[in-house]
Amino acid sequence: MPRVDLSQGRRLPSPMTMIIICYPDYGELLMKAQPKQRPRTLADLLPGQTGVIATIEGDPELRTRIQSVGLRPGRHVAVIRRSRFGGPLQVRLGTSDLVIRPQQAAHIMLA
Amino acid sequence: MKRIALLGMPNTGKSTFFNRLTGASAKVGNWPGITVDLLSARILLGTEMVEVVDLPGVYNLHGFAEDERVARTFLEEQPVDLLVVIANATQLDRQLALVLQLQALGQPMVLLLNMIDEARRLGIQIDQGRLSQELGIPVVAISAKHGFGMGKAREAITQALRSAHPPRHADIEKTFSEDDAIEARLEQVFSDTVQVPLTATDRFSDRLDRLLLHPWFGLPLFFLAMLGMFEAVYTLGAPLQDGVAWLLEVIKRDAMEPVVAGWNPLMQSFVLDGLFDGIGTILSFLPIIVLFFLFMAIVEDSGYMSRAAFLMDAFMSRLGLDGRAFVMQLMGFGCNVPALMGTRVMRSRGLRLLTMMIIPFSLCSARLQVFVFFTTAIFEPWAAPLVLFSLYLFSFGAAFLTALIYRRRLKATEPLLLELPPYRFPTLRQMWLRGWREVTHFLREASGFILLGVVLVWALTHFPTNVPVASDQTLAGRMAALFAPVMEPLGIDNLMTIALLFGFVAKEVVLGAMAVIYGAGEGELAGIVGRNIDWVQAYSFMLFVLIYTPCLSTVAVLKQESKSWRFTALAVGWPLMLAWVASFIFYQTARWLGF
Ligand SMILES: Nc1nc2c(ncn2[C@@H]2O[C@H](COP(=O)(O)OP(=O)(O)OP(=O)(O)O)[C@@H](O)[C@H]2O)c(=O)[nH]1
Ligand SMILES: [Mg+2]
Repeated sequence: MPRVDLSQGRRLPSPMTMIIICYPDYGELLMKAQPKQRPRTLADLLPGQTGVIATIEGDPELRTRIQSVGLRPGRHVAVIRRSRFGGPLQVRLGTSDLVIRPQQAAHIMLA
Repeated sequence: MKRIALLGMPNTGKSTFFNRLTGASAKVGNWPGITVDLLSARILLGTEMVEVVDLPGVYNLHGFAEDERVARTFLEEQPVDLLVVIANATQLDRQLALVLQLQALGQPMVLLLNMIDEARRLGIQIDQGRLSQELGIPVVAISAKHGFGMGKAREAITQALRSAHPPRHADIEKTFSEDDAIEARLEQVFSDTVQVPLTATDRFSDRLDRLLLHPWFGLPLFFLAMLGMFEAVYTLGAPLQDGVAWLLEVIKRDAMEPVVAGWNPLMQSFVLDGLFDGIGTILSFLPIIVLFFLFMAIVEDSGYMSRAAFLMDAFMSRLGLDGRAFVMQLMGFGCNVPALMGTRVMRSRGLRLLTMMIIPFSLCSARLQVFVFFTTAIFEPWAAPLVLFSLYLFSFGAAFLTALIYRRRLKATEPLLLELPPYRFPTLRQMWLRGWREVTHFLREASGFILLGVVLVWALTHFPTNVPVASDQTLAGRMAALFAPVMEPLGIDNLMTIALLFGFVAKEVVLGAMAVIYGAGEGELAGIVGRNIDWVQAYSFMLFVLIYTPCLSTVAVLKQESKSWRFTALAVGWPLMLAWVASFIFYQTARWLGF
């Protein structure tokens, strides 16, 4: 994994280098590097992985919101793809596809 | 008169059905949240007149977004004889929840399983009889888009209306406690009546997504597609526009001029230079507008909007916005007004206001006319589309800059949860409906305050009558002179300042005003303008037109949707300032560089 160490007081890399360095999705790389353990929330799933929703946490408004689009306990969900830069996930729920941000996906606990 | 309400989750085809049923031309698009306001029409069903109301989609009767509130308030306040619930037949696992929730209201109901064409293609089997039995309501499978099952749906609605009790309001509060019971029932009804094959996915959409949502190529492809679209509008539209301009010239020369020949000169000038040239110039852009909206119809119906939201969300979130705000910007390319209304799907006030701040920077079709005119008049044919595209980039730039500056004051705290519908393509009928909608809209505007604006410009540039037209001594000239110290550093002369002043009403007026000022129809106008200003001035002018207040309608909608004068003042004042600064920097830099 490429790293930029800014602590040693060297000059900042040029904008172009920054872009190139920043492009890979660190979140994803990190996750791939981690030892395999069972994903706990929807946000932990990698593209192609599936899980079953156990519970939905968070404040009532968010819970209602999540459930009303069909993400309910007991349902199978699959992550189809994750967008770059820590962007949203594409989640498949039966025959529907949904877009959800990782922050909210982390409220959806898997069995 | 009896009243029926069309209800359902977003993007299930309510408006498509509404159009089929009533012959209306409500806006349709493959994006959840196209309809955000009530729409009603009257039709003859059986032997009586019935009012049909198209409502915004709702996921849940207890939702908190503005569009959901519109639907909910309607149900609570207006007595309804029959609920017609429209569900997407391919997603009954999700959609039956709303049906059950609505049933708890105890109102007479008919369920329409829409998009049955897609359900069949996916191999989904629905036991309609059983479903109807378990729910205790009539169920009809239809395809509103292709017109399948419409006769049966009409019949079922007529039947249900006949036996309906007196109309009632809905008591939505009461149903709050019943949500849990609904869940268990949902599972059971679904498993009893619907069979979904294991591999029921839209393979075409999947394959296309692999390309269009590609982590590396997704965004570049998006911008390439946009560039392609504008190129197409430009190359196809320009000749059409020339045709109309030529036609108008002929009419003016052979029909209008002989008729007014005997009139007094002032009246002649009013009719020819004021009304005919002013309005004619605006009308000559009709083909481009129609063409543009046909392309927009394809884009909006394709489902690509939701993909754009997916691709851009990470970036937009850093600006304090989300992917939907980007989609509203795209929608704003057609017209800012529906885009501003479209923010009703957002629940957080901060997010909504911030999005409403940036939408007016979207280069709408009215501004497109001004830019098409100037780029054609000033630039080489090969450069014109690129110049146009650069203005689109500035449009995004101004919006993103604004979001960056205001994101702290207008804080957004809202989860993003969005549907990704399958790719679709509009039918010819749908495109025709859309084109027709835009033409009537355009003509209504043109005959309303655009006409008024043009008449005003004519009056101001022709009085007093004893000085040369549009000279410094006319009323308009004196007005422009007031602004000269501010506008001169931008390379914008007095005549163009007059056009800008009236462009405040609507951007269409800018060209109408120029036609009146120079006393020329669209055909000659390009030549005159080309001789009077150079490209630096023209570009500076276009930047100003791009960024400053789009039109009075947007100002009115900004006020209506924000319900705040302070916000409205900010949303008008800030772009005005930004427009000046951007034009100033551009003009002075270009001159300094020796252009
Ligand atoms: N394949 C298919 N597509 C359909 C059918 N009916 C509607 N659509 C498409 O579904 C999309 C949504 O249609 P709309 O009529 O705008 O849906 P709506 O329910 O009014 O949506 P909102 O106003 O956003 O709640 C559009 O792309 C339509 O072309 C159908 O019967 N079959
Ligand atoms: Mg609609």
